[in-house]
Amino acid sequence: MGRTARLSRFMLSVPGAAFIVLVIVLIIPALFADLIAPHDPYKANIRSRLEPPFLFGGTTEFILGTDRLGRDVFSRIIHGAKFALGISMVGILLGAVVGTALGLIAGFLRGWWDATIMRAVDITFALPSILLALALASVSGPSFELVIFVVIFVIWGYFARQVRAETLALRELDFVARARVLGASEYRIMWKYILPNIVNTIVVLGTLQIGVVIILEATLSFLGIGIPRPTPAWGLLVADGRQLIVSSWWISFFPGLAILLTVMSVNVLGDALRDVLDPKSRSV
Amino acid sequence: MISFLKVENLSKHFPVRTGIFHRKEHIVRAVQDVSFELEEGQTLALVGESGCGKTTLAWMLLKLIEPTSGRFWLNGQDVAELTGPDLRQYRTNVQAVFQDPWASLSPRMRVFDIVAEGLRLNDNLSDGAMTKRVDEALCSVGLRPDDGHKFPHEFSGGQRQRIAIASAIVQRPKLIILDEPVSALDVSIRSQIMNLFKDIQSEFGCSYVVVAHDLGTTRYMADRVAVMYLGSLVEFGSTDKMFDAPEHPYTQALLSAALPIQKSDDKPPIVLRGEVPSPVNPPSGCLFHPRCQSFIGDVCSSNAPNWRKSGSADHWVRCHIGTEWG
Amino acid sequence: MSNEPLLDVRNLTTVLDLAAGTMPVVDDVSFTVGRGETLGIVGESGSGKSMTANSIIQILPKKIGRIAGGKILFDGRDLSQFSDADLTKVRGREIAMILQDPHTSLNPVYTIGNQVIEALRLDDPRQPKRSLLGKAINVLKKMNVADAERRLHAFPHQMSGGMKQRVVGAIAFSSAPKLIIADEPTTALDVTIQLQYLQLLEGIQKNTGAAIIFITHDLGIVANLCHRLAVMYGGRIIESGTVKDVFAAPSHPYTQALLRSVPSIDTKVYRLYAIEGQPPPLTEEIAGCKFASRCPLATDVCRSHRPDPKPGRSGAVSHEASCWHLGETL
Repeated sequence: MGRTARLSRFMLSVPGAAFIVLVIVLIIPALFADLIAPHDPYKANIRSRLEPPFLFGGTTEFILGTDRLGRDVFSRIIHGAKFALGISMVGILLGAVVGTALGLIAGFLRGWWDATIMRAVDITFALPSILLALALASVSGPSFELVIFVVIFVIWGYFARQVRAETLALRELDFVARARVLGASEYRIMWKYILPNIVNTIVVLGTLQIGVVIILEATLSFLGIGIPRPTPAWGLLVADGRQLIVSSWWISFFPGLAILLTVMSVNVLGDALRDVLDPKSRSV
Repeated sequence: MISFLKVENLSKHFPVRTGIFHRKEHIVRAVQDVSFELEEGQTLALVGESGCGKTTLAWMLLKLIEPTSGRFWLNGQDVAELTGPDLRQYRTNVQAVFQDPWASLSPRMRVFDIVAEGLRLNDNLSDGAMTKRVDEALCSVGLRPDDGHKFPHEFSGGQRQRIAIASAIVQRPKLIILDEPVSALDVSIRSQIMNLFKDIQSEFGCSYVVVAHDLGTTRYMADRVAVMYLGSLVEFGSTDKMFDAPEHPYTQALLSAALPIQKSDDKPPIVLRGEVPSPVNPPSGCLFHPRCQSFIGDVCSSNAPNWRKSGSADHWVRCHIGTEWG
Repeated sequence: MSNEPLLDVRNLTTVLDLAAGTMPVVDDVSFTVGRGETLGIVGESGSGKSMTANSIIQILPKKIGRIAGGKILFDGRDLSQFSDADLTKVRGREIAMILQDPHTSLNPVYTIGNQVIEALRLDDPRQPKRSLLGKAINVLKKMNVADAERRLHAFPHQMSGGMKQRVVGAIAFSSAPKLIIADEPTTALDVTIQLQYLQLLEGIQKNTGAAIIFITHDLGIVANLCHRLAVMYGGRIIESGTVKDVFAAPSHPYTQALLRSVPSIDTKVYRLYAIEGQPPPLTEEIAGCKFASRCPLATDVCRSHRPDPKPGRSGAVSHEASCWHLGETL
């Protein structure tokens, strides 16, 4: 099969559709927000308050309507994608690095390291992340750093557990014994022998976490302990329309739709990626 | 004269915990008081059924696990006392080829890096010199230098075992431990690989310790054989003498259980009773007595037999038959 | 009983439909198994020996494996035309299977007794389990399962590999099958345990008159256990005949080479014969003899034309080999 044929076949499949949705809803808006957005997302305009969307009695000027302050919902969603993508990328990257490193150490060195790290995982899983965020926000106030911290805190354990489990299996294989016979240090075995064999797992897990993180970020913002206003984060946009949901439904509806589409397509893509990269979990 | 490899009273005991709360502790005597010597350039086979401790013994020689007691020497150096550069030297002198060529090569490393790993760790070579050594090693095992760019999954089982052999010989070791080196391979590939081991031995003069359960492989490869049962050696000697006139009843049963293509005689095979007992709770006296077809009485079940020389030179056996007891 | 064989496989072709194309894993294979006879099918991995056996009872890889041609006459009926429902009635009853790995062929969450009784109830699922206890004990005793009464309550993980394989054998024999397909049943066992097992199998076969297809890569087992053998290479049978004839006068160069490449335990050999190279990938389309690329006797005709079965060197009627150079010795 040629490259073009393979590409068109992928685009017509369910993961292909998910990929296209993701590019349209998240990636292009995040990268080119300033070019695409017709209006300044922060600029209030009293004269055009609560305009309904186009086709619902509105005009093409505000295609998805405006909010209470007359800000363009479409432009705010476009700019919100930057924060959704940015926070999930940074948070997952850091969470994956922390979780992978600790999982590798726990699974490979065992003993005291294993016991300590795994208990720490249990504790983070047992702590309600929202309450933690509330507590922290009451001390420091809502901020980007706080969101990133909560994201890392919530997801590192998943990486640590999965990486540890795979490391436990890999360290028994003969190629690890062979590396020892050659005189490789523990550090080198972890870095050069074990890690390359779990990269696929980490990538799959990271992709599947994007949905979790976007929801988490939206939840925190919705509760007012995430990204501070007036930043157009998706969770904040949904929260903005909360009181007007009956009369001006579009303020909450379209950001909510963006969250839904993004999370769904990320999850579909993650599952597809797992089938390709991680043959062990493939059902035969 | 200092012998090349000398093993004295080597034992390995593993604790196992059983019961719901892992409170009961038992000792598994995986290897018990094993002693032998091997001359340079020779091949010793460790033979026995699964669980007899042959692999544990091999792993101790590779320093992958530490012995519980006993010592061994390579060229007169006590291996347990090696540190720093001497330990590094041991790592280059002693290499291994494992059974399963699918598990013994890291799937994410290129063949060149797999073969070069030992040189990178232990020698300070220039890139050019290293490439030359790796290419030589690949050629010695019948692969092409171009193959270095590929990944292990691009090769068949036999070729993968060749890659593993190349990585074992690239540092020109003195001793290579072969842990069931052909049993995962297809029949038509096995003889290629066995011949390759012989060629490498005559080219580099290295010694082998082969862990094997297949007696045909053993007879073909080994100069000397050590038969193990439940962690202990029961018979030791030159391959030809032992295969022609085995003296321990277990060795006799093992040889007669092998199903040869051409039967040399019509003697009915010796079918042993039962299965190998648990090493957690080994039998009293001679370890083999509950299954022994030549059981001669109380002496077998109450006294552990000592080593005695067999009728022929260079052949020892641990059995009461043929002593003043028997 | 008539003289016709119990199993008569004619021109069987089984293919796998892969993304890369259609791969013939069993390529125009014909053989027979008589009542009470043991046929050894010998070959390396990828030779199609297991696929041949699996084709008989049609347990092929789902969706991609299918029988593309030929007949499988079992007791006068063509199994290749059977529906799934009809095949289910044959599997486990008239034809039983013993697989290589005893650790995975028993269900870890049921007791041994449960699994043996389940097999005994295949004929009549309404029978109460209690009434079959005695029968189950008997079945296990026949396979020399020591302490059978107690073992009924044991779980698979509490038993050794050899003992589990006996239980698998007991289940296979419990329905008094006419044919047993044993796919490398002793490969995971130690030699002394293997010998015990093979002797048991031989004994039970004598008592029940079941035929056995024994799939193995081990020529020693074939020499000692089987009546006849078929040697497979690249999805085809390249030589077949009685064990005596084939071992005395191996005719196909592959068979000759294989016999010479196995080290003997009786004599010291200084240099083993080695077949160079490796089997061609099954995806490769080969017009001629599949062994030609590794065969020292190969000529142009071998590479271009597929050899038909011809009488083997022993001169016996049943001995056949497919080679263009049957007169020449390797």
